[in-house]
Amino acid sequence: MSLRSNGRLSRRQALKALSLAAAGTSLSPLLSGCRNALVTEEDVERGVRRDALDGKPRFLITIAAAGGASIIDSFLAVRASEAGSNAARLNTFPDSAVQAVSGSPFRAVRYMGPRLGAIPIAVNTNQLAFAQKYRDDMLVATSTGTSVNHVIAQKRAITGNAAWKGRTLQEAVALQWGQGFPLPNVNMAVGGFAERGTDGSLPASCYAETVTGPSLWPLGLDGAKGIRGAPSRDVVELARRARNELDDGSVFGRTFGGSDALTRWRTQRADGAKLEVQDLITKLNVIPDMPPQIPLSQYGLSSSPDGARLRQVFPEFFTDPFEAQAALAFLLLKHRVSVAVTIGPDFNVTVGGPNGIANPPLAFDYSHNDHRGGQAYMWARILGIIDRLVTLLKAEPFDATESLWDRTMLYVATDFGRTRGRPDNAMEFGTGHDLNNGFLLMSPMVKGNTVLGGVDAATTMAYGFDPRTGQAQPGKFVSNEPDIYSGVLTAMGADLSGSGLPDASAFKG
Amino acid sequence: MFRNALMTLSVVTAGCFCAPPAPPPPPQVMESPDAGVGASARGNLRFKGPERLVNDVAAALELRADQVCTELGQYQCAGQVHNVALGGVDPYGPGLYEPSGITAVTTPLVVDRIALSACARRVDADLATPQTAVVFRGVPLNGKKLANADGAELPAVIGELTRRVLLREPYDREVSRYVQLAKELDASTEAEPARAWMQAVCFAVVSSTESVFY
Repeated sequence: MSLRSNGRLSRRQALKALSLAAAGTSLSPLLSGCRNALVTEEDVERGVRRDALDGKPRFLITIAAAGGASIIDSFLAVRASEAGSNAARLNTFPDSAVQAVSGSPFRAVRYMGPRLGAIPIAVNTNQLAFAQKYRDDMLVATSTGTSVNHVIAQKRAITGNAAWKGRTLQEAVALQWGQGFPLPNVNMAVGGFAERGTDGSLPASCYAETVTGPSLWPLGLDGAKGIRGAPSRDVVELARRARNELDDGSVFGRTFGGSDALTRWRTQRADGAKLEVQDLITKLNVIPDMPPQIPLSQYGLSSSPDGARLRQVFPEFFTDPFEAQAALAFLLLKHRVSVAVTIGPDFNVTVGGPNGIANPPLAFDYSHNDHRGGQAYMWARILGIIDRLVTLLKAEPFDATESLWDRTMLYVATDFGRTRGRPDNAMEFGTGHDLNNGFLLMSPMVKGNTVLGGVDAATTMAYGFDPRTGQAQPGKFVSNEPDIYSGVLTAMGADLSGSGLPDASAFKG
Repeated sequence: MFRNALMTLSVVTAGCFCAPPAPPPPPQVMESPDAGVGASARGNLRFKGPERLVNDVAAALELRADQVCTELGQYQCAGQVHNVALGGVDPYGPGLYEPSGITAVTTPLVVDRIALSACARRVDADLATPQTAVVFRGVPLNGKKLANADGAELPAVIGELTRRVLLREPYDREVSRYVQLAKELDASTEAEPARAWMQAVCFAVVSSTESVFY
């Protein structure tokens, strides 16, 4: 199912969306009434005026491009002829490898190499089709970070270096739009991308639910289903009722009832019941019934109605965690479980895919061994997942007038850039970590087909921009982490009053 | 000599197959305090985490740790599938080197799964071989029902369970509530109310806050 060329839904899609909306009526008090009821002085203090929002959620998918995804190896690549006498010693490409994207400031790299560092697989990638397809939903903002330590830089990529009380972008989005969502913030990424922010004032539900095994994780979304020999649901509910009554009145409960741990536990027990009611153990379960390895039916379980379709879109989901994460991310949004989902490749080798290696060791950081091949390979991997995910989101109605993609921001977060030097004209070389880089944002909500900032071709270093006007500022190489952070939220239409964040209107479409 | 041995064997054999299993010793039921429970000033509670939780459940119900809970019969609940939800770490995959330190939304559900799985196994084993029953022994049945929900055997079993899981005697409120649970199930349409009660009371004790926090 896809939207018509005019971006509107067909009659059948509109009817389906309306039926979904009707089915969700019982949740509407949670989604809107509760939101309004929850506007408190604390909310104002936190910077959330929910009445300023349109009452409909917006979604953030953070793609954690671990290891340092270099923007000059993708959409801001530099041709050798542009770099003059420095070209041979800088990370510039043969002119023919840097393709223009028609009607766009973006560029696209074509790379062909006989091997990937010491790994004997050929690398043959081309970013042009992706850039042409999505240019109108793409914005690249140049950046200068403040750390070249992986974990620290990763965390700063999602907090803007503590730009807003230390809360992560995902936590900010969960706070703004996550009311009534059972798991507003789900994080499947690694290292600093998976860390919690430092704003301890947020409701517990804003902090991420960590998922390390997306294929089997949905089994934990029900306390009883799929357990061989377990009693019926009615019996479990009777037992829970007895347990909870005794818990509250027990000596233990009265002694420690005021503790943070038990207060949280009681809330989480209640929240868990909401997960069970929605049958998420089924809806989010991508794995097929495949005895004897996966005997779902023998345990009273079944695959998601979307399972077969998603397994077709992400055929390596069994062996490639990134594909499994992407499939789960889609379902978390589709079923209104989460408003912020974080996915990304890890630093381990993943065996699989058409040439035997789905993920090289250290992901983008394989650039230490083979910069150009590693970047090309990993960019292709990231863009391939994004392409499939966006296609799914475009085809999924949000309501009668919008698709899920219309309300989704996709932020490709990364640690940092890479050093620019190379031995004379070397095509295979290693690079280190560099503060200078850029970020890719994709959404119908961003100012599309836009580069904020630019690249000095003589040095291949990215210079800055005015986050309010978008005007490029050659010679500006100061840290702008808060600008990027603010830009993501500004483009999404978040209420930033009281945040102290810089005006980043230039990001908004 | 040989005759003595035969006699001993016959007595033992008779004991194994004919004598009804003795119920657990009666509990020394404690009176539930109505007031006077001091709230902890520090409230420094910790969730047990995957290893401690599973080992404690295994010890209490006399199961092997790997029998406590598996997903789809083959993937360890605590060690593999739900390790992080239970506060564990996963350094080699996603690089989670430190536990989160707080429980997650899914943690109570995962605890319920572990408790249900372990209890189902314990009850199955105890009902299958009453002579060697560990927890649910000496409970008279009437077909699939409990023969007497008001008898002394149920408090004895509740006491046994409480001692094993919570390392103390039960309070009177707990005994009466779990006996009430037996009556609720007896009055329900449940096909096997006796088994359901055993599973339910075991589940309630094993997944109680007192059991999973320390």
